[in-house]
Amino acid sequence: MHMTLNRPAALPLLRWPRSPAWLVPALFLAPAVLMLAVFLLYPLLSSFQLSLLDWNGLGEQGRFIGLGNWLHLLHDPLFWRALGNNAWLALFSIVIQLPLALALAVLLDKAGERSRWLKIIYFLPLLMSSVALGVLAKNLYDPNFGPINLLLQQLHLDGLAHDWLGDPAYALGAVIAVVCWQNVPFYMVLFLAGLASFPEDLSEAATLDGASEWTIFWRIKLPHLRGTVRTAVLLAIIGSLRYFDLVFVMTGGGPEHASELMATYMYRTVFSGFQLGYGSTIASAMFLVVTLIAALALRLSRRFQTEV
Amino acid sequence: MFPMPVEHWKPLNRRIYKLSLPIALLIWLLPMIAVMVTSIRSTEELTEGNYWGWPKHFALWANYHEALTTSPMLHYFFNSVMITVPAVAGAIALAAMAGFSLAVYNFRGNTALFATFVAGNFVPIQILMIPVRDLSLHMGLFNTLPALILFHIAFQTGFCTLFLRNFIKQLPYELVEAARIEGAGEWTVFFRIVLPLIRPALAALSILVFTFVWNDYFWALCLTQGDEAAPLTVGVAALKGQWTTAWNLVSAGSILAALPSVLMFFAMQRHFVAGLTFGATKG
Repeated sequence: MHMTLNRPAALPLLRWPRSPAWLVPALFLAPAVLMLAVFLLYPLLSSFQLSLLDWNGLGEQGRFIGLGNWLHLLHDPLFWRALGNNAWLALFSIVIQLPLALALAVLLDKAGERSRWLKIIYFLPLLMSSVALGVLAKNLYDPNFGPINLLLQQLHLDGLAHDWLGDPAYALGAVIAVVCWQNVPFYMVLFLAGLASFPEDLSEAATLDGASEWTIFWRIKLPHLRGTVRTAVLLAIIGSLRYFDLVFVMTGGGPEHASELMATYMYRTVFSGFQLGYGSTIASAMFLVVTLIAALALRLSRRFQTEV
Repeated sequence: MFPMPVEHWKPLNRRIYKLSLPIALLIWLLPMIAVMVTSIRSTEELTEGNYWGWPKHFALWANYHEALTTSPMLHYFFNSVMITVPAVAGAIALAAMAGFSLAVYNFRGNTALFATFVAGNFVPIQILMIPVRDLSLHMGLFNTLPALILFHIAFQTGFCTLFLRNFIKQLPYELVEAARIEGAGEWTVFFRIVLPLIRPALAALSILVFTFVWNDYFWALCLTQGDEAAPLTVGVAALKGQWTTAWNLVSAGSILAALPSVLMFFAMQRHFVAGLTFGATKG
């Protein structure tokens, strides 16, 4: 590494002999880089290597089968179904979470200082663990005792009451609804941060020119938030592609793989099917899908450095 | 905050605005209110079938006492604390140093290295499951607290570095130069000048990372077996299996599990929005 920075030293005579310029930044970076190399980079590469093995995890080493697992993956209807479910999750995350989060952020931003407590309260779902939320949501959806069905029965709408998580037709939708609820606060904070940098004189001037609140939002505020929206879309897509927690707690991917995601499918392949090689193949495929989409999105936006 | 104060709006608009926030809030929190109410519902009422109505008797003490004593909740709680506190401190310490280096020094490979840290955030962590489990077995750390601490530090450092590097980059560089002219060494610049200035960011970040680590379920599932090193998330999931019908106890357990991150958040909320805002507005 090469330093281009000039370091003004006022009293060079009293100083320790100068160390090479690259040493200081390297020392500051070393612990973090070491951790990432050992616990992130090495496992990542190792996962690709495992994906070439037929291994049940018991023997010392698996049998090398080349691209056999990858060929199997291409023809595995369950993997494609899981990928499709991930895509639905991503779509609904963008269509439901982001507008809701934006609306909440704009409303809260307008309320100003007084809304501090509201901001905290809206943030609560994100503070609860997915496990607790999943247990709660399971109770809400319970076909016999859950309040959703009880309410529908009270309203004599028995026909609309379903076994929400047990019926393949509804399981994915029911899970997605909870995932959206859990994640709205995250995007809300992101938008609030974006709105905080909004120059107020802009909207003041627009108001003097007779622009309505509505116009100000669509014509001035939303364009100002363009970068934040792009970041949010990217994060929502990536988050959806690698989602695991709530689905695992609520349905485990079932019934009949109706709510299976790539991550739950991989988990099951490894821990219930004991196919470590094939599990690694699913994991590696997930990585490729996420990287591809992230790279594409970054290429489209070219602003990865400044907004996260 | 806004050019026209809410008080000067047309009365109808104002009324709609004032009503909409609390109503949205109520709907928003309904599921959480349900858990809280369930957690103080007595077992008798549950057997009578009063699942969702207002409870007639409160069993606050009895439920929480039972949740704490008839299951290893306290043990799980202890594990969670022993995992989360060092993990948060470690990740933030490493990230502050790395972020300082990336923000202040201008060496070749800086951008590439920073891009790697950014990219590290996009890795679907599940892909690491099998090798990480193997690694922890080889290091003799499987099913121990240090394993979870180490891996959490590693997985959170990338995100923290990214956040802190952007934050430090916004500080006036003259401060660093001035300190050097005064004869301060690089470590002093970092420890005495930069660290105190980024306190709001450190506070905001520590809340976020605390909730990430505290609520983690995935790594706890992968790296522990049985109760020994299991944190609260695994514990609550186990409670669900142990008391399939005792919703009041499961709810009490979930509330106890959520309590620390909620308290953390309330204690630090002043810094939270401010810290995130400052870090995120660069652009």
